[in-house]
Amino acid sequence: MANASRVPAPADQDLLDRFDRDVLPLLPGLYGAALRMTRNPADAEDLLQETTLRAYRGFASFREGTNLKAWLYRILTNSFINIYRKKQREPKTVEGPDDIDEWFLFDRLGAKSVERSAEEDVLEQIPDADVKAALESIPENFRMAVLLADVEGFSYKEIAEITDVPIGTVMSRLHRGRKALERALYGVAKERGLVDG
Amino acid sequence: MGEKGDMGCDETLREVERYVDGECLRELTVQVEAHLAGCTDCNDHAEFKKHMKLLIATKCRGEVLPEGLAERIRERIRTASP
Repeated sequence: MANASRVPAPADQDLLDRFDRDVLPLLPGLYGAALRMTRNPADAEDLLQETTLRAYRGFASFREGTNLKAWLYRILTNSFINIYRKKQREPKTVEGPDDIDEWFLFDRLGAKSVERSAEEDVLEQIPDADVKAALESIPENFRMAVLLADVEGFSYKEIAEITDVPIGTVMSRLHRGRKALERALYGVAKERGLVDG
Repeated sequence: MGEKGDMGCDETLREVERYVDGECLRELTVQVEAHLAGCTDCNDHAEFKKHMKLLIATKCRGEVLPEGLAERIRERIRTASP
């Protein structure tokens, strides 16, 4: 392995080809996650630029066959924390709303929501932009857990690795994040006159 | 808690989020499903959780990259040392 420690020349063609083949297809998903994290397109673009640059620099040592998607989301998450958490000065959320009923939305919308057709379902009628805004409104740690689990489809174990916390913490954040999101969505449904009250 | 293979409603509802996330081990999955099959109320709760999960996924996915962003990223990488 005489080459193991060689420093690749700029614009190493093999690396660029691998980047094009493996990373480019994941950019739309990463950009969507960056949008939910930063909550504005300009910062999302900067975050994606930073993430891809860091990924490219680490790409040479990344072993093919391991979980590339999770690796990229880990870089995205770390970049976000390093750059934007300082910039936004958003208080780091450890605790969050925990006073919500366990089945807040189910108790209000109930099984009817599932049985109804899409046109009649209150939740389906909420525009995409409002659901995204609701997700962006919940505390950051909860938002990340819900985003990674429900939008990106990562397992608990993967989310634990991406966000660098134990699986128990992932489950707790997910649970509380979903409860907070349910409450936010109910607020939207009320504002839009989709439910009474 | 009921006997093995005979979970009650409370225990099922405690596990239902993990179940919907596909994160229960096989034995627990079988027990949860056995309860859901015979309990309309718990099954409604589980279906609601599934519905919410799908709703979040479908309504928050599908962002389109801004025009030219992929090219800007490639250009920046091309000129950076790896």
